[in-house]
Amino acid sequence: MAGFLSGDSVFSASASRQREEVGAAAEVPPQAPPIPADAIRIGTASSLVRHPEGFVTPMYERVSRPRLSRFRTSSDVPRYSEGFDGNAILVDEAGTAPRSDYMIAVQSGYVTGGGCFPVAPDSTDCLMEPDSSGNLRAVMKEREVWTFRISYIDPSDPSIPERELTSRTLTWVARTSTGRSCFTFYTWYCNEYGIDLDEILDLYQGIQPDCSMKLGAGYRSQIFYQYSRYSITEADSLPPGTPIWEPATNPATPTRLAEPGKQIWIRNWKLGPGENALRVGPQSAIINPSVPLRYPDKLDLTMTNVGGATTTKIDPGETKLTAVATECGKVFPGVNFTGTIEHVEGSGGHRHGVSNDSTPPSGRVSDAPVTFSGTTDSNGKWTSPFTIKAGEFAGDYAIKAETADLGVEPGVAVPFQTESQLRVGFRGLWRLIPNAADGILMVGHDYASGTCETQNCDNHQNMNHNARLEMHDFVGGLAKVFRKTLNTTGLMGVNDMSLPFGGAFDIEGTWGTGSHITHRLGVDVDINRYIYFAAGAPQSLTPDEIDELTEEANLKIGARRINESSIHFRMPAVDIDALLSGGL
Amino acid sequence: MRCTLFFAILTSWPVFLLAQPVELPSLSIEGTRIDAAVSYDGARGVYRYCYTLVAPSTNKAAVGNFRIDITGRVPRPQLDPDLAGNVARDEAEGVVLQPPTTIPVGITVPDPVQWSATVGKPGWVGFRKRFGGISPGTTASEIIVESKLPPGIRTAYIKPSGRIWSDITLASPAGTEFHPDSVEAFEIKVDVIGPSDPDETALFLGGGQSPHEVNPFLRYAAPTEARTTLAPGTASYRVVVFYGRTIDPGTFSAELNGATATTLFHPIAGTAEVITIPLLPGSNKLKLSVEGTTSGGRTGRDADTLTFLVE
Repeated sequence: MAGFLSGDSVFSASASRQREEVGAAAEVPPQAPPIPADAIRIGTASSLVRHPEGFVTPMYERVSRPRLSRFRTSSDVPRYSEGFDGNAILVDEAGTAPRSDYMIAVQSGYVTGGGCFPVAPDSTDCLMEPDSSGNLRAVMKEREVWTFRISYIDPSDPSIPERELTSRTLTWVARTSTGRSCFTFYTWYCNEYGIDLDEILDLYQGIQPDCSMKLGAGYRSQIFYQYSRYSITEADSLPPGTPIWEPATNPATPTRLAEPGKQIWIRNWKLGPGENALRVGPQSAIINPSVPLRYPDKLDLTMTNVGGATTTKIDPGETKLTAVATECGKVFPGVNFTGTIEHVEGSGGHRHGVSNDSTPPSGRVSDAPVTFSGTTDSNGKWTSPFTIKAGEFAGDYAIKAETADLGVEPGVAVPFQTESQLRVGFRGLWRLIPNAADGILMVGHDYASGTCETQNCDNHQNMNHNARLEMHDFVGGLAKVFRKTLNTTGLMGVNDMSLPFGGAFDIEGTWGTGSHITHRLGVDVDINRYIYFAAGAPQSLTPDEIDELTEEANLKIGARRINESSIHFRMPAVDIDALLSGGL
Repeated sequence: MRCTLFFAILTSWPVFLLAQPVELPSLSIEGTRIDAAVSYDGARGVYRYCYTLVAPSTNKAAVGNFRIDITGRVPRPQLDPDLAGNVARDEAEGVVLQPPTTIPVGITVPDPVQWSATVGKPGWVGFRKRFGGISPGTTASEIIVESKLPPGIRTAYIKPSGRIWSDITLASPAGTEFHPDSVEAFEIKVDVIGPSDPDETALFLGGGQSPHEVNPFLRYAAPTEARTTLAPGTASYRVVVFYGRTIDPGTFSAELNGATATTLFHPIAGTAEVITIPLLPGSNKLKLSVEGTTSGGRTGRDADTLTFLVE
């Protein structure tokens, strides 16, 4: 049984016509015409009802589950080729879809072609006519057409022409040039592979709302249906005036679009303001933690504060919140809203898995209030009366705000909601992931690895190896010096650096600031006092070896050792300057 | 080759001292100096910089290392076979830490077993005596850098050894903090003569002579203008002079404050040198003159007068 490519799936032309959807696609011949990619899922019919006498009963306008669907984001739209049916929000009759939606679409399930020509439009009986031998035979449908359409009629002025926003026509024919029954977008494949395609499994046809569309009612989503007992060839030879399609097309007028056959489904709906018409967020998406430099007698000579002034400390970053209620150039004054600022548990590397204390006391990450409220001014804007000041720890906040009323019609079913993020942290820190050839063993990140002094390292499990990219290079160079100076092929153990966004590194996971006071900027690294080997116990370094390593590292890569019981290096001060002048 | 041939011996003094010790014992090396003697090998076109580090007995710690800035302006191959040295270079093993704009050098140390020397990542040439450093009251000499680039005023960093601290810090419990935080608190910075990479098209010509082709017979990296104002108490100035390729060194003359100073200078066509001239309070005038040949074969004389005003 051969598989054949459709726009999004492969179906089989087996004798039993079992529906079969297979993810893998056969090769597409280069001359094959394009077919709708993700918007249609095709299959083979299993539900054709056979007449006891062998006829196929009229299928009429069969379209299953027609509906109006909202897709808020592009990732919510179905991708039938990937087996993803989409994340749709259904719109009821007279319901509202917000302009912020990525797509508003007519969506359906099965569309099945074929069947006999009914004796009357609503009859289930087949039209029987004598053949050339005088025997009565069922007249079969030769063609069917379904039209999916979204249009707009301005309710404020009926004289304004109806505007077609989107339309898709699906045509089915009983006989292609090679005698296959097939939807016409697929004719090439039906002919090439000798198969029939009588069924669409799913499809959508949508619009992406924009600012040219008026708010309010007047939007219509419809499906029309027509059928014909004549093929195209037959129709061409009919006497003028012979009705070809049933029901006939209701022609367009100066103010209304044509209606191609019977309207088999309609949904009237309204366009509402976008859900993002209210936006609340920080003026600065990221603000730096404060860093009280512990050794101002040394560092105040070289460090530069935010703004360029020489300093003995890094001042905390600050930001206000702002709100704007606007959409498509229209501002919404006097909008009352409320909001929350919620610390994201575990953010900034502070999972605190051992202390189980992942909620920072107020002021540690920032002094942000838990709730806030406001009203937009005449320009639709608002600036918070409060200022959020960073603490010494890094972390993230989720900022949410909502209002039930923008002061315009139509409203929406749920409040207008907005979400944004505020990060307290330093930019430009990246996790160090060494290559095997670097001669580095990452340690101190996971108690189970056996490289931690205490279980406290699990407070920041796998979060302790972040630094600026210059520091990554520094550690790589240090590893080379390590091997050469100590004349070893063993590995250098790289212990704590900084947390993902820097800030205070509380080893105990209790939001205290007394430990690791220098590991806040992504320019510090601890090196364990061992040489590690792939097998066997690590080898301790003697004080003389540590001294040799320190001196050689200073000579070759400018390594600056900070006095600790471990081997602690800090990037040269010039790089800290770069951090503060260019990194914030 | 020992450093017996030299044109100038220059003494460098610490510019400033960083932090004072709080809890850990002092590592002060204030008073440590680096003397430099520069010679030029005309046959190879190589400058030879011989350094002597003098660690006074008043030092509180051994000198751990010293590094001389040799950053340059344009990329160059970092190993030059014309430059002599006795140090196994990392670059030969494919480990190149320094920027490619670092000035290529050859490095010679008194004893390659006892000494470590390298071109370091920031673009410096560094030296250290292994296993203890340069003790107080001792002198380390015959430390040689070769370069094809001319001399200039460079910055050197002299760092004390932290070895006497290691016994304290490494034996302390985890989390113990120390003051000062780093031996760099006692590092000193001095000016030394070393390889430089000036933009020779931007050198000071010393004043406008005519024809234009004559004026570059004498050019200067320092000073950069005919009249230089110096801080009160300034007792000397380092003139960095570049001699034109077509000068006749025998015609060179120098006069400082009306007295002949020709012997202070060692003109060789196409070379440069750093000369320290003594200064008096008030106005000091240095007059330099040399003849050279123009492209048309004519002889011209370039005469410059440089004024140094000690306020």
